[in-house]
Amino acid sequence: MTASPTAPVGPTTGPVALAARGVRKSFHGVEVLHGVDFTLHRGEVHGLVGQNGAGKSTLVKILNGVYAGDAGELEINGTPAVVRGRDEAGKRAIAMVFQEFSLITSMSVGQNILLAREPTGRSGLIDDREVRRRAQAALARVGADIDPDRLVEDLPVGSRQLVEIAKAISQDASILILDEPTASLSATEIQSLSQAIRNLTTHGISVVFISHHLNEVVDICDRVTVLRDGNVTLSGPTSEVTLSTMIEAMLGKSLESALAYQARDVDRTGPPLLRVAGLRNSRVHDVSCELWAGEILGVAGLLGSGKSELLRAIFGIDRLDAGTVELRGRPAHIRNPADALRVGIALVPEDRGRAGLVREHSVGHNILMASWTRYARGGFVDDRAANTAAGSFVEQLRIRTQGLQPPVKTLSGGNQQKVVVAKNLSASPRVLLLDDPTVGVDVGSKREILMEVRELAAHGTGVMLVSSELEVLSGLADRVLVMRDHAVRAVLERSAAGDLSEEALSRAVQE
Amino acid sequence: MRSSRKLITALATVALIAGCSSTATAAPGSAAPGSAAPTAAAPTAAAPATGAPSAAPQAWAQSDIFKGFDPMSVDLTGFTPGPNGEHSTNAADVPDPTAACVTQIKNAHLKLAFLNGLSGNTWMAAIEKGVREKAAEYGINVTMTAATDFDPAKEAAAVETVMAGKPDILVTIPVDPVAGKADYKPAVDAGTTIVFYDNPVDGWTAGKEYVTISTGDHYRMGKDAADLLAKALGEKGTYGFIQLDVAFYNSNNREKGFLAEMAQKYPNMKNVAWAGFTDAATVGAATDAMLTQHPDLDGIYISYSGAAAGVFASLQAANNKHVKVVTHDLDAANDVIMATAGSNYYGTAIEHTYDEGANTVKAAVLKRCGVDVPPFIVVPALAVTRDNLVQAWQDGFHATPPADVMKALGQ
Amino acid sequence: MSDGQSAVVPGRGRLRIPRRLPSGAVVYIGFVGIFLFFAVTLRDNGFLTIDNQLNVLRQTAFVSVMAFGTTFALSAGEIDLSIGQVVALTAMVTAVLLRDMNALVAVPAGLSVGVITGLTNGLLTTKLRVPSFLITLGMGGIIGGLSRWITNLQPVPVLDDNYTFVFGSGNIGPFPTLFVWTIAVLLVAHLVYRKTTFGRQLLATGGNRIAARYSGINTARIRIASLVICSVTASLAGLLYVGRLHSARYTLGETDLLTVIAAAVIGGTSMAGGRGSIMGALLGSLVMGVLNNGLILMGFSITEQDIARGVIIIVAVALSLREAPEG
Ligand SMILES: Nc1ncnc2c1ncn2[C@@H]1O[C@H](COP(=O)(O)OP(=O)(O)OP(=O)(O)O)[C@@H](O)[C@H]1O
Ligand SMILES: [Mg+2]
Repeated sequence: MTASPTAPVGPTTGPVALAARGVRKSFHGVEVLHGVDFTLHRGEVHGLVGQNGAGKSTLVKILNGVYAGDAGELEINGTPAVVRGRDEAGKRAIAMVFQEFSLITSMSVGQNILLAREPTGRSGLIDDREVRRRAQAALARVGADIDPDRLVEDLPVGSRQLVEIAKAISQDASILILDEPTASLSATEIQSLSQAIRNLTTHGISVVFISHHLNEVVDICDRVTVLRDGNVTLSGPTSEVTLSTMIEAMLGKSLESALAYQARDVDRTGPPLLRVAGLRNSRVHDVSCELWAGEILGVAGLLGSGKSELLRAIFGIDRLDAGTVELRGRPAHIRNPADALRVGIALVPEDRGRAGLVREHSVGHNILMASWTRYARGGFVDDRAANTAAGSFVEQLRIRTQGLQPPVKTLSGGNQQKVVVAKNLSASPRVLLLDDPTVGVDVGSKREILMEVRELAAHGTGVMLVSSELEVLSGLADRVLVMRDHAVRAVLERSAAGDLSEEALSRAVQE
Repeated sequence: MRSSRKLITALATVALIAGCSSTATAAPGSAAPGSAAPTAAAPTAAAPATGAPSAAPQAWAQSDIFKGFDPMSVDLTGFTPGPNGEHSTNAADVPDPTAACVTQIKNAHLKLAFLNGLSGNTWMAAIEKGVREKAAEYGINVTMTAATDFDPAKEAAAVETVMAGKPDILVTIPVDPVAGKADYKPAVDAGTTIVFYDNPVDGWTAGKEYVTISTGDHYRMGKDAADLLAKALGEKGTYGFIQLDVAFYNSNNREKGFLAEMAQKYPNMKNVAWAGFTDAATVGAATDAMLTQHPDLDGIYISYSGAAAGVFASLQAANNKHVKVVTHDLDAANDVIMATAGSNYYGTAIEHTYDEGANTVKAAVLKRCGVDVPPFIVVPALAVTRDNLVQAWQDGFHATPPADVMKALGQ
Repeated sequence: MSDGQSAVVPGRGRLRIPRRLPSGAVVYIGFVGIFLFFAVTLRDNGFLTIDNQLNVLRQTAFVSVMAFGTTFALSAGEIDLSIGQVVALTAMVTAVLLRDMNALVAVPAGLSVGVITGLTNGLLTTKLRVPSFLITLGMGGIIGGLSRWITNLQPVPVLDDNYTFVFGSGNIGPFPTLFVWTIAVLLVAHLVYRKTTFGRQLLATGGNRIAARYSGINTARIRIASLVICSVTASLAGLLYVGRLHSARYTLGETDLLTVIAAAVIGGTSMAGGRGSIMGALLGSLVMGVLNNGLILMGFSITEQDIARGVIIIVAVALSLREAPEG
């Protein structure tokens, strides 16, 4: 990751803002936190890392009062606290950005930021001008340039994330919890965010920072705590830990990176598997590209550059004004996702909560959502075959779940993401479109997903991989389309030695 | 793109809502007492004034229900006959059961089931009161009640259900003369003593499937209403006719009685406007239209008091103190208006509702003692104005008027 | 089925509850509770007699059949407010054709009322992108108007004994045909809902329409189908009403809408879509039926019946909709 301009300078000792001891929590009889200790000092940024399902979100939700813990003690600013509900959390001045978005998408950015705290004029009516002013100020503190009057539903995921953060810090809390705030941000946005966090700490605000980007944690945080399966396995100043000790504490073993590029032969002699020509609509301007069987084609670009929109257009979600999509030389008439899947194109969307999952439904049904017809005879579902298939995906992607039955919403964020990937793999696509598939997954799982992508490509699937993480592209993609302002500006090929450095990508993207 | 979709949505919504306003059903309690559930259709606009002399067609002729009706043909001198031409008998002329009969009934400890059309309706409540008090007099237990909501399917279910409790007597108001045959068959098969109030079942004969029908003198309730309006206006002037536009025997008879009396006795009273309704909620709008087209209208007849709230609201909004209103039934809310001196509400023509209920029980008792019961028993009508309002509540409903009415009367 | 890998160590000394109560279990308990209550308090009042129990089965058939259809619509995230009017128009069309022609014409014609209304509801909802709530509200007006217009408000008697036997008045052995119809529709609906790809895609569509679309499900077609199914069950209920009452009238079905929705929801169907149960809908309908029956037999006044029914419905819905809090 990009280095932060400011070195960690915050306190590693000093007055304690929050101290938790022996926190335990069970869901349906399964304990997921086994007596966790956690101390947060005033004015520090404290990193919290761990594999998907390690219990990070659960721990901070207990601190913040969303969940009630089963056992343990909690002290906030020196006073003991009993955790029961959101309101108390407000009194305790803990603000939190949830991993799952909690914005009301049909309302404007400003209305969201000041929700339930709207300033009123003398008449008792809401003072819209003041709402806008305060929202703008809050957005400025996180370095976001977003019009407070825009509707949240019109914003891309990254901008929504910034709005969430702006909303949280505008509440003048003394403790701020950020659960994977950077998962879908671009490098520049991450920089301005870390700047904003620094700013807050100088005002005595303490920050809990959850992330799977370990580099980022080292850059931004003063201290780090590692959770593994509900136990603390490491806690100390970031100056004293290395990446590999952190990874070992997380996984219980060391891990060689999946991100070194492995040269592969892509046969480009025949007709391309997928040919996109002159694709045009309001968000994609005249894009053409080709994808061969077995190829991994990366797509890089800043937030709003049109990379997600390109995938959406190919997948038949956004209507096309012009352009054609061909599969193996034959035109594919794709008007909707059903058409796309019929010709063998699948998409893992970037916003899993909105477009990927039915939160209330079981893990199994979510995995099978796109492929029921494959496990049916005469319209009747063969549940045994379907469950066997779903089970094998759970195993393959190491989805941490108590079987196929629990509602997918009870899985940790990263494991939900894996369910979305599994769903699309279950449709056995010939062309797999991946829109930031590793958002929010831990290093171990990321490796599993990326290995799976390589495996698929090795078996002849064509993969188009959009990622905001340049290291993913640099480690995986055979070629990279660089997008800016809704159009393809460059195609980066690997050098003869197979090199495609992050620096080169970063330059191409920013230019 | 987005805005055009919103526009279409908005238009479609408006169109739909406009379309739907005609589907709303009258709220329970606003239905005409003793009338089948009124159902939808937007109120027909008030007719334009004809301005022609009395020989010219009157506005009510627009009503589909009164097609070919000749007001001169109605005989208002005797009690209203039954739907199949049954001779009607004044309830006062039905003999009381003998002492021996009463003892026999008391010893039998009979069970009575009562079905009403709508709960929460003043008229229906008065009937039920009559039934319960009369039954208590003979030591009969009212063991079950059920509401049919003027829905034949619910009626079928209600009959089946109460039959499981094995009642000896069933007092009920048939919802639908056609469906009634199937609905009441279980009770007939079980040999239950069935007494109807207000409505018949097609093809059935009194004394066979059921004992008798107990009801009011509907023609002469209409006649009384006409006399009230004539008196209020000094026997000359113009009036609007707002009608429950549903083919329903009893309320149609009241309206016919009203029109007949007007035609036969008051040549200088002109019906200049007509409006039909099936949903009482639309009556206000119909009255507004009528007042707009006939600013100097003198009077209004409306089919029943439960629907008249819209008329009074409309008059009040127009600040019209001139128009006099007549209708049928007592109604706790509207009677406050009547009780207020000099108000728009001049009078109402009612029946002896409590007695109508009580008579069903008396008929059942007589039948069970082997006495012949006349097929169609009628209670007389009663004209009500501010002057006899308290007495009317006593006579009609065996109740004192609500406190608000008493206050408005200054008592 | 593989269990994945169990990431978490089960808590020591704690009972491990393997699975939550199956959704809709509450309605079974509620039904049994209400039934037992009446059975004990009304044991001398005819409640437990076979005849009375058959009464309940007869009386609930219409609501049950419609609740099955409504479960489909609600599960897809739609709602059909026009079912009451479809009942009436089906009844009127069928009765008129029975009078003028015969059952072979009248029954298909009656059912086509449901098919056409459902298709229109579905197409308008998906093409105009207007919530089905509004489309079906408007459609109810149109259909209701037609059924009043068809005979100018007059009820129509039905004299075809074969028809009335099959649709609602007859008995097969000890069982009323109404009950047989209920069971037949129940089985078909249950299989389609639980065991077919259509059923799964229906739930996915109702649970998260966008995610379903991204999964290649033709959500428009699913939603249209759900509304057609709903309307057709209303038509079937209309046919049964005609058979039971030996007549048709434009007010039939008028007051059923809310009872039907309540039955489905008590049975564990979510009004937000994505969750439901056909068996639950049957139980929900029986709860309503037993309640009506028992309260009348207890000798309550109508006002008291209304109050008691209201309270019990709220309790039942609250119990069956209550979800485990998230965490
Ligand atoms: N509401 C819930 N009901 C049941 N189980 C839950 C619930 N929430 C979390 N869990 C379980 O608790 C464990 C810890 O989940 P948690 O969300 O805290 O993980 P996490 O460390 O935040 O992971 P990620 O990095 O994927 O977000 C997981 O096994 C998860 O399945
Ligand atoms: Mg988490």
